[in-house]
Amino acid sequence: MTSIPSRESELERIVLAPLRRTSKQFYVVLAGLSLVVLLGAAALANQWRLGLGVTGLNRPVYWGVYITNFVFFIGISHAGTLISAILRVTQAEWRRPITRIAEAITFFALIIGMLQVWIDMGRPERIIFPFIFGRFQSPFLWDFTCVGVYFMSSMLYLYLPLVPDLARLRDRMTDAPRWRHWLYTVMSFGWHGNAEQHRRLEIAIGIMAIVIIPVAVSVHTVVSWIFGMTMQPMWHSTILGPYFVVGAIFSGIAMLFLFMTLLRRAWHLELWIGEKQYNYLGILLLVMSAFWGYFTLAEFLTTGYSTITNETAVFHAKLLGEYAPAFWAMVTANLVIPFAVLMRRQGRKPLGTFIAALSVIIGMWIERFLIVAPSLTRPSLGFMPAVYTPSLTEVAITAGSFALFALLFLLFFKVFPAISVWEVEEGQAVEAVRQKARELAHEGAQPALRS
Amino acid sequence: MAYWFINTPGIGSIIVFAVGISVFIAYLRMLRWIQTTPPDPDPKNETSTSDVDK
Repeated sequence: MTSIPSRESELERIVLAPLRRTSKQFYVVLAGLSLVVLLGAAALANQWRLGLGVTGLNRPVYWGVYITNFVFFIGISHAGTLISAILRVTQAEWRRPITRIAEAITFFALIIGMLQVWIDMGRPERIIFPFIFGRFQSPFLWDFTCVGVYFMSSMLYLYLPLVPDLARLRDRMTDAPRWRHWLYTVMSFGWHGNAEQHRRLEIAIGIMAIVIIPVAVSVHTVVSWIFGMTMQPMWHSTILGPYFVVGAIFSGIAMLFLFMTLLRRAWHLELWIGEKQYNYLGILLLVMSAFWGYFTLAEFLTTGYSTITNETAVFHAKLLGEYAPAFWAMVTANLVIPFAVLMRRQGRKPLGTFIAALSVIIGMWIERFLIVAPSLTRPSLGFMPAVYTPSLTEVAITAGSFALFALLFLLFFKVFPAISVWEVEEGQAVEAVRQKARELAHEGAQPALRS
Repeated sequence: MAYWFINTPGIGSIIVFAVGISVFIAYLRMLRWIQTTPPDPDPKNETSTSDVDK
């Protein structure tokens, strides 16, 4: 185990710079996001005062934008866990500078996702109802279990690799405000970083990386079962579980691209988040786009081929009816644009991937909306076809939720380093050893070749 | 019995809390295990910068 030198390395200097200095742009972004959050909070307060009548929800459309947001954000939360955990388990070295950003996305997306269920309940005190009246035969309770475990797991999975960096901040940032120094001291829980403590930390991270993969898959599968266990047209499908998981990973990677690019630019991390990350993640996004296209085709072809009246009514509403513009926009955003941009290596650069990722984020939100709303406008029970249009309240609360997500992310990386410094240093050491081994192997091969 | 177990209001939340609390305790124990690592007798082997600077 090597000691940390008393002089800061270039990596430390760059990564810790945004924690030390605050630019004017930061305050502008902070004010803008806070304003949108306040607007959303005011709309929520109004909804609590007047009831769910201020939304576009009515019989038979009892779920709308809020549940769309819930599914969307829970999907986004797969960014960190799956990407970071899978790459950690497979020992992909290029993951090191981006894992913390991915893990933070997971944590904050889960908070915003869970918030949506509470908002959808209409009144704040109703949050207690599932606990009083909940029966375990309901998929809602399965969801509470899985999301709860996932939340704790992702919090720990974000926290564990942060500990050595927190100790570093405790020791380096002695000139930080008192509350921050106190925070670093408490959160680093007396980390001294000897070889044994590092070994224990690596074991714990390894265990969490393995545990969190099935937990993450279970979460979005169970979210899909909330829909799949009902008899609503195009919900009661066996493909919904894997379809949701694929969509979740797809949107998660896109969100990682988006935040990674913004943070890279704002925090000047170009030296560490570079071509390799964009190229490999771009290929991953492309693969997930193909998977998503395959599942969408399988889902729609099977439904379209059948003659089940309720199913075909929803099918036609999506492909040719009032939801057709949204449906074809979704196909363009999730398939056409990512393929057009990311197929060539030239496209897998920051600008290209940013465009593709933004397109996928929009496309995946539309996809979630098209799962939730159209089925309810043509329910199986004897209702006339209904119309659902989100109200201004719903739009304001949704905008506030997105802004809160970005705000939490921004504030987190104002206090904690965006790149896992010790892991990148470890990667550099691994690379140096490999380089030396290559040189030695080359030198050893020379006499053998000569003879 | 099994049907009563899954169909009684309130029992579901007990299951949710039981799972949640078990996981929470397991994670706390993991953190405690890392925290209670005995410090190295030779401070040179520790990575804390303040220790090195001393």
